[in-house]
Amino acid sequence: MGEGTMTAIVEEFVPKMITGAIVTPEYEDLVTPLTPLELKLRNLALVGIATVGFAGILGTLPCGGRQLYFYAPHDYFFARTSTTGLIESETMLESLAALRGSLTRFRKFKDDWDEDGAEAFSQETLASADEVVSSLYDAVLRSNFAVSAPMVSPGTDGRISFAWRLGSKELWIYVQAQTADVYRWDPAERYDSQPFEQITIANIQEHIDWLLS
Amino acid sequence: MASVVRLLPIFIGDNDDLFRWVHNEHHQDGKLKPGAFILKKKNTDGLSIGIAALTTRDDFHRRAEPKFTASVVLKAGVPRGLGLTLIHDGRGHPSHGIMTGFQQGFSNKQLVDMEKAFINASEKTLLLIKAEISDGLG
Repeated sequence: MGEGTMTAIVEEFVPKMITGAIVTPEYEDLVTPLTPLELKLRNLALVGIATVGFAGILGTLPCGGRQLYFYAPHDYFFARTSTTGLIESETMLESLAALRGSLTRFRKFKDDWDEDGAEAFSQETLASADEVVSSLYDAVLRSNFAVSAPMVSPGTDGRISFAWRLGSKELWIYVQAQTADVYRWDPAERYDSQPFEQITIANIQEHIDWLLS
Repeated sequence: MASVVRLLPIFIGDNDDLFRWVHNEHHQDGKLKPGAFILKKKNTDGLSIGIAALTTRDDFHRRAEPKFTASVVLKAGVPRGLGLTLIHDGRGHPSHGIMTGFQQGFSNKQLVDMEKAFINASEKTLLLIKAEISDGLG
């Protein structure tokens, strides 16, 4: 990520964090307004921003003895506390960020990336996988983070797959070009999946909702 | 004149263990991901396995290509129960075999359900050969 991009991110998102413009309701009582001293620390604190380099931005900002986290597309942020839920949230956001990181890596894969004949991924497939990750982000945020992290893996046949297990259910999504093959198991210990569906990426949400329901 | 030794194929019992290497991209934090048991288009003859009776897990690990950073154990009865055939062919190593019988007419659903069965049956046996490669490109 170039310095100019970093500066743009900082200028766009950090003021929202500092002023506490938008806080998710469940964290409202945990995030207190920054003190004048903390505001003065702003420029210094910016050094602590960690970006993961994807369309959604996960940042962390040490400030006034607290650690603030933010998720830019939805303007969520919260303070690090000893509350278990928040620490789990932190882990979850990092896991989701890792999904984007994986997609970035997959872009570099060329034919035979596994040295055994695997296919590279088309731009169309990568773009669709990116949309799936956005849907997963939304689902996690809507669920108040009370979920486990999904996994993404590169298929040797040019598809990108997502696997997500929650409670007794499991969902696999195989993305190729603009379509997704969706497989659902309930209970997850079964191996014969529910009736298979091939859908467009735009319709992925209903299957994520099934998993979360 | 050099002599050539040919091993007779062994019978693989349902309770015998099969080893399979797992690519660095197909496991994470001790869990298997989709892709660990996928049939490649070019390998239409089947999925490679190591027959535990003819090797050891340590030896199997030593022979792994660099990008295969974990291995799992699968009972032979699992693929056989799904209609696949296990063949000891000794290709490249005396313990090498293949799971075969993937029919051309198998639907994607059938292949995915098979992979899910393999993952369910072998996940708890996953062992790291070495640390995961961070960039995945080896």
